[in-house]
Amino acid sequence: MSMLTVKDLCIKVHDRKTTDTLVYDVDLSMDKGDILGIVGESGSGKTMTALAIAGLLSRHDMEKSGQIIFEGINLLEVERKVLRKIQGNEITMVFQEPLNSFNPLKKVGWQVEEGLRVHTVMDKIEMKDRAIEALRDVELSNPEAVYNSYPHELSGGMRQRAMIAAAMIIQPKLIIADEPTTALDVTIQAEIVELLKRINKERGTAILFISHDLSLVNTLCENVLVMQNGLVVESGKCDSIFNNPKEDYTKKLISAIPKNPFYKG
Amino acid sequence: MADILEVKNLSVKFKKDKKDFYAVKDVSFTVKEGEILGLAGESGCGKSTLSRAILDIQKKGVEGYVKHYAKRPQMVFQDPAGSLNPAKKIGFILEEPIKVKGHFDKEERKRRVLDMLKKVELSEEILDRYPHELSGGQRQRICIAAALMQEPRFLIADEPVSALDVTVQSQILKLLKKLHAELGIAILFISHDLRVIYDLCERVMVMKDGKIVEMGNKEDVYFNPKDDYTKSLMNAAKTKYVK
Amino acid sequence: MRDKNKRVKFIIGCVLTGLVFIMMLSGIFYTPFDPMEMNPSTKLMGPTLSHIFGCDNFGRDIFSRVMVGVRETMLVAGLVVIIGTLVGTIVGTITGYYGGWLDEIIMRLNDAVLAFPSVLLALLIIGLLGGGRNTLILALGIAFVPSFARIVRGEVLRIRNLDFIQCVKLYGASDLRIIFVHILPNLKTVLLSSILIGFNNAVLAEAGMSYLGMGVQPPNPSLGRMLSEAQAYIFSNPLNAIFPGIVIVMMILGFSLMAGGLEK
Repeated sequence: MSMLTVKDLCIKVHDRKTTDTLVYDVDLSMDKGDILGIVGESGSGKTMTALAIAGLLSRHDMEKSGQIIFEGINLLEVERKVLRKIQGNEITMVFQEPLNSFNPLKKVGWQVEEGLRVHTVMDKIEMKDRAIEALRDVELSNPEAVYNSYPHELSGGMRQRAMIAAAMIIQPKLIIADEPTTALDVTIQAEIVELLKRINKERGTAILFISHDLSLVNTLCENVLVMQNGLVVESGKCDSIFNNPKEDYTKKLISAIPKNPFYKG
Repeated sequence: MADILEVKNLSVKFKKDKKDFYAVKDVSFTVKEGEILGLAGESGCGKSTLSRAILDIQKKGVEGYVKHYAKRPQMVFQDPAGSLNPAKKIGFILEEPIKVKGHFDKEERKRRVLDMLKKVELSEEILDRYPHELSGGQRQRICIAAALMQEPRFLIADEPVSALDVTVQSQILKLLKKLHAELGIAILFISHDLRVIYDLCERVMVMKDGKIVEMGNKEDVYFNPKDDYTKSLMNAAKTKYVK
Repeated sequence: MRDKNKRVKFIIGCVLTGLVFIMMLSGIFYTPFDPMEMNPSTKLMGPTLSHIFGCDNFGRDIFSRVMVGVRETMLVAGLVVIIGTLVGTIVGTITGYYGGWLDEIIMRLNDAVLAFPSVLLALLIIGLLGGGRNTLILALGIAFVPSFARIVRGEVLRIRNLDFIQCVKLYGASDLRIIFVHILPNLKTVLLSSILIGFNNAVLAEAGMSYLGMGVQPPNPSLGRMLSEAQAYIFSNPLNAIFPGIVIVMMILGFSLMAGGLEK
């Protein structure tokens, strides 16, 4: 049985009079150590799907149906207490804008430790050791300095690395990365993708990678889901989808990628 | 071809912790009539400050020589939501550039607005909407349209597609290409996406820490870079865009 | 769900304000009794069918006095808010838009004024210029300027740095056009809610000042004035104070609910 199975996931938003379906009958499954990509434009429901899996969709005007089974537990039906344990302990999330996902008033080190503080019992010195180790592990050159700095003192790439360190510190089984490189420059983007690849290889952490950039997904993921207007229009191996797409929408997405000057023929 | 912009030894100095800090240092280049010049660089390298200094929006700490050979260059910004007045309808926003100068009567203004809408491939009913009712792509089209209302000969586009989805990006780029072919206006195109610059531009400048480290034909800069930074940039791009 | 709550709030607010307005407007043309006429035989009388709010210590009909007093209070509060908003918007826009040393000087001055409680500041001005309604309006108006100026300045500062203002500058628009056509319309939402809150504060300030005997002069009624006159008899005749008090509460509650309902 796979680690994560999503079956017939529907997400609806109730407005005063109307009901909008944001995500419609999404199925996906991931095994330990998989890297799955979800591609789509804004409004395609990819972020909603990710948030639902992370257990972060609890707005009162939203209705979720279907199943999200993580290691045999249906996250949509389980009690809050159990969900809390899974959330952050086994599933963590990395967001698009690292400046917004850090509390500006707290030092980076404190926030990297947060996962340990919530989910384990550990003394301060040990926590600091673990945090610095985690920061070193995401290839930050001076982890002690980063530990003691505030989010705004770091560059975008460094912040995103620290964010990944915070997500990795409790060694989750699944990281959900929602457009983690969109706000970054090309060179940094490539580095972050390399880092995610390495983490996946060394730790066996599964990664759910969400992006609007098909070329980026192609460099990282084995399998990919293409979403449009809340529907999965195509899914399968990255190579086959990239090289011979079946759906018109996928073709359109691929043709929209700017031509790569370094790749002839 | 004649020059449309000449920049010589341009520097922009900021004070940071009582120390002088150059966001732009000793930059010289020219833009020729009707060409698209690409400016590549990572965020924080000073490319936005440079464009603001050229257009005289940034006034503090600017030293050097900027000469415009055509009047009233215009600018298209990265975030199309912020560059449209949220309190005004699209019709007003498009009319404003020609209303400011007061050259035309009401009917002529209306005609020009409709003309421009056709050029950016939008329909007429958009005139009665507010910016927040439009999609990102539509907003950026409106920004481009507004920038072109005064019929400038030179346009600066500061990351005009970076905030957009890939599919919308390609549409906007197509539109820019089409408008460039139709109107023959010169564009300084700023982006951190090397593919987009390669696609659009003939000449390319690479900027790093406020300095222009390399400038030349795109084939030379991309496939035969001289500068170390350009080399590393191109290598990163190679690994990222494998296909 | 939240929308519905807001609508209900807005409607209740409108009803309360409407009632007060009806009372005020009809007070211009008709009052059951002469609000100034003293009558020893009805002195400190409780509510009856003809005097529905009862009578005060001079035997004057409280209902009639409330009808007229609301007008005074509204007039003062309204003018105070208008002065505060107008001057505040002008000061805030100029300092926010142009910045520099002018901004520094005016805003430091503003801070100094803001440091005083507004009622205390008004007391100071009245102390200098003498009492009376017109001085009260001027004094409270000046006391209300800084808070408006600060709000407007912050908003102008934010809008000034948005890209669309840079665009308009590139079109060659003049500063005046940028301010009036492009910045001021964007202040609407911020100004509207602060005007409604400001109005409430002005009503309270008027009542407070008149209560202290520094606003509307006797025998003219205002809601605050009536409260202060009723104070002496608060234990023997609490109703004398309660009715004007209820009207003040209705006014303020009405405006607050309306403001809450209008908020986005």
